[in-house]
Amino acid sequence: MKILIIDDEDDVRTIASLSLSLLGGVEVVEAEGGKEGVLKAQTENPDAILLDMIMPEMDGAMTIKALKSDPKTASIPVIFVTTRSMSSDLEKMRILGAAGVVNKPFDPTTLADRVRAILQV
Amino acid sequence: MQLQLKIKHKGQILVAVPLLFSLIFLAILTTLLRQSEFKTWQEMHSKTIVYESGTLQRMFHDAGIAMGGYALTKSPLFRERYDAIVSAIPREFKKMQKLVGKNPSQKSSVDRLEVATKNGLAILTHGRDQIESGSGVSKVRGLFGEMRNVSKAIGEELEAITEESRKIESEGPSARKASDHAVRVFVIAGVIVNIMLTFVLAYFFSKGITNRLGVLTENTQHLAKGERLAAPLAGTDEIASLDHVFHSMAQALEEAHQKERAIIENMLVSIVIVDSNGVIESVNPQSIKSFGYPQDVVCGQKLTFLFPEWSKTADFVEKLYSNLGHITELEMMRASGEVFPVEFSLAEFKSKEQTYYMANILDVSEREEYERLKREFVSTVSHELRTPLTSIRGSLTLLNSGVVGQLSEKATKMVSIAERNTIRLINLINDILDVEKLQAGKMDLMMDNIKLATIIERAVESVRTFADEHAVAVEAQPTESDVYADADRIQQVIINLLSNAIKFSPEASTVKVAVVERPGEVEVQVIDHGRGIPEKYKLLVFEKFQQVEVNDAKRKGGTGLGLPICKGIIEQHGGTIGVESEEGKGSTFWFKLPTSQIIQTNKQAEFKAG
Repeated sequence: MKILIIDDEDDVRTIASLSLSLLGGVEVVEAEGGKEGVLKAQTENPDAILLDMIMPEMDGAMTIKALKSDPKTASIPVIFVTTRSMSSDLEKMRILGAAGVVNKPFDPTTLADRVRAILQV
Repeated sequence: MQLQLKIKHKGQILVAVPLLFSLIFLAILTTLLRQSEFKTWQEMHSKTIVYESGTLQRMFHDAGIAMGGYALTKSPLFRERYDAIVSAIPREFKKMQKLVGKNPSQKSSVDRLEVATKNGLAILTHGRDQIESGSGVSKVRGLFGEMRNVSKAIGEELEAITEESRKIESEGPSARKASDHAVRVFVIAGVIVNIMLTFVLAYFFSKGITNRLGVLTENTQHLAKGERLAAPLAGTDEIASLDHVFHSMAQALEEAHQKERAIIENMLVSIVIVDSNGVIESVNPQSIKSFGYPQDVVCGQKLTFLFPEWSKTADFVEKLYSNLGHITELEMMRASGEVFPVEFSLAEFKSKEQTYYMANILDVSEREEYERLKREFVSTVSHELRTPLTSIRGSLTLLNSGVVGQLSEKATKMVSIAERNTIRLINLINDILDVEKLQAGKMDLMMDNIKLATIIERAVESVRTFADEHAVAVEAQPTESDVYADADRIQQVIINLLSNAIKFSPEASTVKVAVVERPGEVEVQVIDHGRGIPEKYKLLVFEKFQQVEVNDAKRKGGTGLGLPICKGIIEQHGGTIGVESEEGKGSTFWFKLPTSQIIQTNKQAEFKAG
């Protein structure tokens, strides 16, 4: 399984990447912003995308809209990884087309399992 | 003097003076009438005396004639006649004597009359004896001569006696007339004087009372108009007392009014008084400050003048006036055009003339701004703290897991400490954010029909490792119940109750999750065999930052926010939460939720939060 991680925070990206690859046996592709993320989604064709909500320039909402509007990437499940846990935020993410949400701070040991549970794979 | 009298005393005088006058009048009238009666009696008396004197004189005359007749005829008829008259004369004299009484002027005449009468009777008796003895007519004639003399003397005395009576008799009608006239005049004069006296007294007293009552009436009008009252009335009567009380009342009212004004003028709520036509009549200083309109501009305008254009519809105005006594959150507009949030309530009050409305307007723009800033702050803190904590917690967990290289035993221990405390810090932040959400009413629940068994199972799984660490077994009772709830939040509650139960349970004991189903509700119980909770802490444990023992936070971990959050979540679901506990034997924490009745076909079910 190949997962694309889009997050502007290098540290968080590294932790998520290591958690998924070392503990979850998942192939990881990283992008440090929305623009790069959309490009990599088109080129890398990942099985799922872990997307940060709050990012400069192109935030999570804009990124998922771009992904969902592109036929090439529209079917890729997007899971938000965010500090926003208000119900209104969750509702907003659902409307945007997210498959699920992982709250930060997450447990690195169970991150891959939670992603699989959401993707039901 | 008049002012010192009470109305009661004035009334008494008003009654007593004419009454006294009437009594005097009656006394004099009685005297006059008695005098008049006496005069009448005197006249009648005199007439009787004159009549009786005539009778006496006539009797002597008749006796003389009878004696003469007897002497000439020797007829027993004359003798009987003679005897009858002679025997009647003393009675007649006695009657005469009695009539005259003790009248000093007539007494001497009566005395002389008595002598003359006795002489007359003696002559008559002697004459009869002469006739009986057969004396000659010449002798008897001599007696007639004597008899004439006696008769003359009697006549003179009777004349003397009756002179006064005749005088009285002659004066009688004119005296009686004069007396009657006097009585009539007196009666008329007395009645007139009495009426006048009554009127004069009534006039003066009523004038005094009316004038003073007039002052009272004027004072009530002054009070109603808010004008200065007339000076207090002098005196000690009831009206003066009433006026005094009225002045005291007016002063108390003025003081209360001043206090009320001070409150209204200094309060931070805008007060707008509107008449029954919806026209602003007056405003308090805060209104001027808050809306920015001068008083003369805002007064006379409709209440809707203070609202934005879009809300000036008939429907809006109708709702405004029909929602009396309730606080409504609305938007109003300042003179600058700025629209600002307010808490608006309208109260109705009625004066004699019309109905008024009092609008209480609390400018909540600052409060809302504060709430907005607070929400932003919480959101920022949440994000700013969670992002680095993600890296810290992730790094420590990865280090501790050994996937990035094996650590020494000591290093592993240190990393474990760091990881555990990082997790504790994350939990604390999550709890604080939950409390904040509950307080602000911002914890939106993702309600759905959920299987209770699934939630309990997940919760038990979540605490499995924790329970193992404490050597405590966790058992869950099977259930088929469905509840309409936010699955994540109910799971959070069960996890919290289970964590507490495990923390306070002795090793090798069992923590049970039981479900009691009742019509309309389901009760979830978390039963432990720990130290129990003292009675006085049973309610306190659901308060923030409350723990049974001071050291519990340090020894057992926890923020003291877990149970208050559980309480908030359950209550937001329309349920209840509580604890049954016996010290030393364990505790049963329970919560009750309404059973699922509403079928939600919601896409939320497809959206799985990780």
